[in-house]
Order: sequence, then structure tokens, then C-alpha cells
Amino acid sequence: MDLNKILSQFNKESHQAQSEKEIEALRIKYLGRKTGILPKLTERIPRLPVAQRKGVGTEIRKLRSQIEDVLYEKAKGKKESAKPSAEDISVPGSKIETGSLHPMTLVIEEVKNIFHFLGFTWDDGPEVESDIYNFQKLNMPPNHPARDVQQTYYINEKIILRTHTSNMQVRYLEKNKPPVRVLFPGRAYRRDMPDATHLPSFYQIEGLLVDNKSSLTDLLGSLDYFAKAYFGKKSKIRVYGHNFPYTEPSIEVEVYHPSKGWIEILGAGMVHPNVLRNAGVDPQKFRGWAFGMGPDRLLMLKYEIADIRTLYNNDIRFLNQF
Amino acid sequence: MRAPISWIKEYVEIKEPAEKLAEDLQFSGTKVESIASEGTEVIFDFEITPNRPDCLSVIGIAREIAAIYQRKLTTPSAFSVTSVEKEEKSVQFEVADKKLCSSYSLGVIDYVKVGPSPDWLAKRLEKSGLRSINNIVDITNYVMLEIGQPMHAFDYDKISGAMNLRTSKIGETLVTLDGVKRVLPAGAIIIEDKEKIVDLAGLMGGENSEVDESTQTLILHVPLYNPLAIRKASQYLGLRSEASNRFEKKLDPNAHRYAFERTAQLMGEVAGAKLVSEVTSVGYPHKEGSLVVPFSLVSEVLGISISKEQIKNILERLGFATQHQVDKADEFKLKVPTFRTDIEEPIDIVEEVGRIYGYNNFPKTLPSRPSVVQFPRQTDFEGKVRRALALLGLKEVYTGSLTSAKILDRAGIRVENCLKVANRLVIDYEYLRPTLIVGLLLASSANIERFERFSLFEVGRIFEKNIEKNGLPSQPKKVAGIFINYDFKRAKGIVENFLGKLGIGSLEFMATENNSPYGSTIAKISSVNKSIGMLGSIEEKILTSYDISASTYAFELDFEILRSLQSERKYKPPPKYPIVKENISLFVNQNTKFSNIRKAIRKGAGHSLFNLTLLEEKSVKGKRSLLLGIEYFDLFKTLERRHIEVIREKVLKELVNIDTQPRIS
Repeated sequence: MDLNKILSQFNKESHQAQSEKEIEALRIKYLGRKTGILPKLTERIPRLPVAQRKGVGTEIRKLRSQIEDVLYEKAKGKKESAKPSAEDISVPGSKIETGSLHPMTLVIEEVKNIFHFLGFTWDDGPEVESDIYNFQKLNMPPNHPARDVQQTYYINEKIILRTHTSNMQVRYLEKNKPPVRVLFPGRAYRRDMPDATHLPSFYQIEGLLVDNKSSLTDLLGSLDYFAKAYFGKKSKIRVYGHNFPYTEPSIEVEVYHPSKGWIEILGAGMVHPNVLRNAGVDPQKFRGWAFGMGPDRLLMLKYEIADIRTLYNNDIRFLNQF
Repeated sequence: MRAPISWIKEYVEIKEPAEKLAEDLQFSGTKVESIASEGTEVIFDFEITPNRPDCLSVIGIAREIAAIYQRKLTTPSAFSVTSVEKEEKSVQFEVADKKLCSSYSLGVIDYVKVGPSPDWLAKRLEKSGLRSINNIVDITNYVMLEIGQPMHAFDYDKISGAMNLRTSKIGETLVTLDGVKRVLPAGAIIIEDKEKIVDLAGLMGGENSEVDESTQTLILHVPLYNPLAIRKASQYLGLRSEASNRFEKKLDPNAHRYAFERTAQLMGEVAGAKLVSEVTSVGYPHKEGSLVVPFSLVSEVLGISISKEQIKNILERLGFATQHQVDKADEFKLKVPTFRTDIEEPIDIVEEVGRIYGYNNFPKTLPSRPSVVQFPRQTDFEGKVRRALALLGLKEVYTGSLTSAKILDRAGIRVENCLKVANRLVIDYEYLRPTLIVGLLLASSANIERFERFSLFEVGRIFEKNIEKNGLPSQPKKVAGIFINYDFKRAKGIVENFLGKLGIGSLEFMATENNSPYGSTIAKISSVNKSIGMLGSIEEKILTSYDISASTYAFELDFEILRSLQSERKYKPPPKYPIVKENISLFVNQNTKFSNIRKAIRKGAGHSLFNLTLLEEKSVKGKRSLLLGIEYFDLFKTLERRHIEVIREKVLKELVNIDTQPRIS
């Protein structure tokens, strides 16, 4: 057994081994647990004549550590050479592909978070809705003129695609006794020609508060709080009289956008007593307010997107920016 | 509604610049669409909400301005002579069904000289968006714009016999003023004489009784029609006019008399006309209604402190006569002017006070109860789902829920099975999506040229035709994803990992029948025997139709079932004692399932099995060969060689039992 021979053989081979794979193969050849040259030598020790045994174990261990050192250095050199030769920190970092959330989700979550501070929870409901919950229970009997402004998709005479998420008002109040504070984010549908600002299907967030004490000043304060939370401290609201059959008084709210000026994004009002009655809530005991806003619009303002269709085309170059 | 400011100024003083006036009107609820300047004239275009037909008139707008600025409203005085000594001509007018035309004014006007309108009249109409036709037609339009009450003038000599108002029968026809032959639906209001239909009431007059240059005598009819009948006929015929826009709303039940007198007066001034019959006014006068309103309702709903005097002052300015109930200090009684047909209950009065007081003068407060009136949802499960998928590298998309037959067809979906809107506007938005995969394919298709490999997901509802207990079509919420240029193992790994993050375990993937839009490799996923959804490859034919050539997998899972199965994950500490790793090579039959191999190994190794992975699968000399990585551990001791040998023995025995051939190197 010539350990020196083994070492010189190893040195020769290690000189040739360049890739990490070759280095690993070398390690297995010499040090591998079952078939490696050194372990095999160790196995043979007990069979050697007693006189020759002495010191062999130590010699083998010495050789082993020599080999390990060489392999270690080589492997380390390999890793170092993977680094750029000079420390040029101006080279671009690698492009990382990650998952992402759609900006609509981000905006809806932000709105939820803002109203969560005011004690609001949220709920979800049917998009294909009965005429009853979308219109009739909201004080809009069949043929009510206010239906004209809500271009409606029909499935049949009784079933429609909800024109607003206000359909959830009565649904929610039927299942949850006041006091309630809740948001209804979701899809709504209008029979509109698609263009840069309209789509037949869009998003809406309805908010509803019903309590034994509630007032228009609370509604204004809450919306002002929202404006400041979403658009910044300098934002504020401005209020116009309006008419919705399901609120009385009804208002339209403009929000001050720091760079775009006044923008109309909200309809709101005090819940009409008939709506409360339709939900089985006594209007003598409870009052409420509600508002509806378009997160599409909020989103487009926030990220300066000009065309609503961008949101639903799902170009990855768009998605990757969020 | 368009109106020149010079006209409005006839009834109320306006000192404010146009922009300021527009803003003040808007704050109080009268929307100004646009302001246009024409020389010295300023023309307002108002957008009037359907509840306020009284504001579809110049006087109505002037009344609002007077109320806002606390100024005096001056309206033109009505015609003083309303009866004649001897009736020269008369007209018989029958209304069989009072519900169709509950009240009206009617009379005959003679000695008419039809001709061009005087300049002031023609110009004023043109500025208001109406074309000048002749002095007679123009005056009826003028009064409609001024007062908000439409009317119709018939040529007396073209009417034979008594006039009769009734509803149309299906298929009756009439040529209207514009020369169009209208085929009527059942239920439209019409006026006929002895021989023919002469008027499509509220929408447009008949050509056969039209006022023209030779007309000398008029029948002037100023009606109040059933709004619903007008609205339905207008919608059915697709015919909207300035008149129908007013008649389909609740008009002032007393305005017809005033409008008649005003019209007769102007016709006298402009066209030399003279009233020759009695003025018949049916259903006149209409008594004004009254309401009892608690003062406290106003301040409580609005949330402002406002004095009783202020409340009364605002209402008086709007034309409500108020009266304090002496015995009930908190209540007051008020008379609702007949033109305010929108005022029905006390809450409506609250709005009147609020809008004139000025909402922008209100303080802003926050709801006063403790801020948590309800427990917010324990966890936002939907958010958790979205975040878990994003963490796994999927990009969230929002795709359209209304789609087209063409797109569904490309996905191999039969449109007969899909929910459809009955009144599509554009062909691209007609069917409700029956799966989220359609939108995901479309989104993938849009990106395939620029991105080699990617994965997308969406959370949303899908729609089915079957009606559920609540009477609505079933519309479950789904979570779906698509993997472009992935292999099955990677796609499945992501789904497993996703479900793991939601704490959903004991997963089973079962091969199932081919089911559109999936291709051949389809797995039904279930957990504790509850079906969650599917994972599969998309058929090549479908991929081709979306211009996708890479191997594509997709999954769709039921959101509510995921929610019901989710659980809080519990921490498992890593083992204290070393893990022993071993590789086993196996020859297996083509149809041997990995799940069975896993079962066998688990059976053999018992709780010593820490982990099992498939390292490699290949074909050796035509045989299917698997390389498995097995990790053993023990909770309480270091596994030694002899322990491992015992375990290995058992594992190999189990593997042989299921007809595999282990090859230990």
C-alpha cells in the first residue's frame, strides 16, 4: 500500500478537475463512504499483519485531511470565481419574478382598512340578483324613472345583474340586527358601451351604517376621514344635494385630489325609512347612512391610469408594477 | 334642460356671476351640466333628477334661486278672461278611464293667425334648444319650458265629432307629426275623434290634426297623464320628447289650468287669437297636502343645531306654508305646494332644510359609539387566499365576468349551458362566465408573446344556470390559477403548498374523467372526502385557439369549501435527533401509483418515516424506474445502523408486496 502513490495520483487528477461536478466526482472516488479509495484502505487494516498495522490508521487520516483540504480549496475557489472579478456594484441585479396582487385588490383592501378604523366589517353577496333586492326594496318599484339611469342587464323579468352593491343593504340587514357598520365591495354591472371610463362590469364599494343614533354630520365626517386617509391630509370633501330613491337626504360628494382638484367619486345619503322598513328595521328606532364609491376610479387616480380597460387586460407588464 | 339666464332673470333677481350661481345651485341639488356663453347671453344646461319635474321649467329654476338667495319670485300673471259671453265654438271631450288622464284643461281658441314667431320668442326657444316652427307651436313649447306643463294644440277644423281618450289596442297605427307611421303597443294613451286617431298622447301629435299655416281655430288640450302609461309607450316606441320627459313624471296637478291661461294669453298677444269657448278644467283645483314634522327630526337626522325659526324660514322660501302646532311644541304642520309632488313624508322635509341650509356648512363628526359595534371578521380568508397564491409566485388578475360566445367556444364550452343576459348591448358582453379558466386563458394569451413562463390567478364568482333555493342562479365563488409552461409536478406542488398554507391537509388527487376545459391529465382534489376542485392540463386544441403552445395546467377550487376546511396550522418542532437519508431505486409496473408506493413505505417504516420524495423517474431498458429519497428519524433516540437495517428490511418487504422490485445499490 503506497499512500504517496495515492496522493500523487490524486494531485494529478485534482489538477484536471475544474467543474464543481468533477470535484465532487473526485471526492467520491477518494473519500466516498462505500467505494472510496481511502475508506476501502481503512477496511483492510484489520486484515494486515499486526506489525504493519501500526500507524497506518494515522497515515490514512493524514492523507485524508490533505485530500479534503485540496478539495475544499478547489471548491471554494470555484465559488469565488462565480463572483464578478471586480467589485462593480453598478452591474444590474438579477430580475426576480414574483407573484403579485392586482391593484384592485390593493385598493379595496386599503378602503377596508380605512373604514376598519371606524368599526366597519365587510361582506359579499350575489351578483346575479333579484329585481326585488336591487330595486324594489330600495324604494324603486317597477317602472320607477330612477331606474333609467341604471342601465340594467336582465336575465329575465325577475332576475338581473346587480346595478350596484346597494343590493346588499336589505340582504345584510335581514340577517344582522342593528347596530351595523359594514362595507360591501364587489362587482356591479351596467349596460354601457365600453370606453376609456366605462365598462359593462365594474367594481363598487357600498358602505352602510345603521344605529339608533346616526346623522348626516357623521356621514360627512366619516367620508372626510376617508378622503384624508386615502388622498392625504390636504384632501377634503365638498357636498352637493342629489336624489337617490333609497336615501333621503341624498348627497353627492366630491373629494379634493391634491393634484387633480375636485373629483366626483361618491354618492351617499341617509338610508330612506322605507328601505329600513323593507329590511324589517323600525325607522322610529334606527337611522342609518350609506354611501357608494367606485374603486376603479380610486385606483385610476392613485396610480394615474387613464383607461379603465387597462385594469382588466391583465398585461403582465402592468401587473408587475404592483 | 337648457335655459338662457336672461329668461330666468325675468322671474328672479340674479346678481351673481354665472359660475357662482351654478355652484350654489349645485350645492343645493340642482345640477348644472354646463354653462355656455353666446354673446351677452349665458345658457345653462341643467340635469334635473327624476323626482323634481317642477325644475324642468324656467320658473322652477327661478324658484330654487329665489329660495337659495332669499329673493322674491315673480311669476307672470295668468289670463284674466276665462269665460265667454256666448260660446261660438265648442268641443266635446270624453275620458272613459279617469286613471289615464285624471285632470286637464280644454278650450277652443279662434281667430288664429299662424305665422312666424316674433324674434324674442324664436330666439328664446332656440337658446333653450328648441327649433322655432310657427307662432302657435312655439307658444305651446314656450309655456312648457316656462311652467313645465306640456300641452297639445289640435286644428279644430281637422277634428270631426267628439274627441275620446283611451288606451291603444295592439297594432293600431298613427302617422305622427314627424311623418313616421307608428305601430302602437297595447296600453299607449291615444286621442281619437269620430273617424281616426289624432294624437299619440304625451308623446307626439298626429299629422292628421296638425296645426299648419291655414289653421284658424285651435283646440288646446293641457292634460295630466298617467306617468306610467306615458313612460311605457315612450320606451316601447323609442320615442322621447320634451313633452314625454315631463308627462312621465309626477307633474303639478294644478299647473294645467295656469298653463292654459298663460298660453291663451300669449296666443292673443302674438297671434291675435281669442278664446271662444268656456275653459273646461277637470280635476281642478287639486288640494295641497299637509305634513306634520317634528322639529327634532330635522336636527337629529342632519346632526346640526338649527332653530325652529330657521327651519320655518327655509321652508317658507321654498313655498311651504308652515304653521306651529301650539299644543305640541316640537311639531309643526306645513302645507306642501302642489308642484312639489316629490314630498311624501317628514324625511323629505329634512332634505329640503338640509340642502338649502347648505351641506357644506355642516360640521363634520364621527360616529359616536365605541368604534367596534361588531366583531370584524375573525380572519380575512379571501385576503389569506390571495396572499398565499401571490407568495407562491402567481400574479393576480381580474378578468371580465361577462364574456362572448366566441370566447367560450374557443375554450370548448357549450354556450347553451351558460347563463346569458336577455338584453345584450355588445356581443362581447353576453354570457356570464361558467369558469374562471376562460378569463385566465385569455389573460395568458395576451402575455404569451412576451413572457415565456408565468402563472396567474383570480378569485371571483362563476355562474350556472341552475336556480338555487333562494331563487337565484347558482354563483359560487372560485379560486383558480393557470400555469403556463409548467410541468404537472410543479403545478401540483404549488396547489399542494397553497392548500397547506390554508391548513388544509389529507389531500387526495384522484384521476377523473375528461372534463372541459381540462385535457387528459385531470385530478379531482379532495380533502377529508370533500371535493375541493380540479387540477389538470389544458387540452392542446384549446391552447392552440388561445395561441398558447407551452404545456399549461390550471386549477379551479371552490372558495366556500376551502373556507370550511381551513384550519390554524400548528407548529411542529424539527426533530432533535439526526435524520438518516437513504436512496432506494425501484422498478415498478407502468400502472403502479406513487400513492400506493408511499402507503407501502409508510406501512413499513411506521413513525420512523420523516419524509419521502421522488428524486427521479426514468425508463431503464423499457422498465419504469423510480429513485426515491427516504428520510428516517426517531423522536427519542439517534437511529443507528442496526435500527435502519431493521426498518429498511420492513420497507423493502412492503415494496415487494406491492409488486415492485427494489434495487439497492
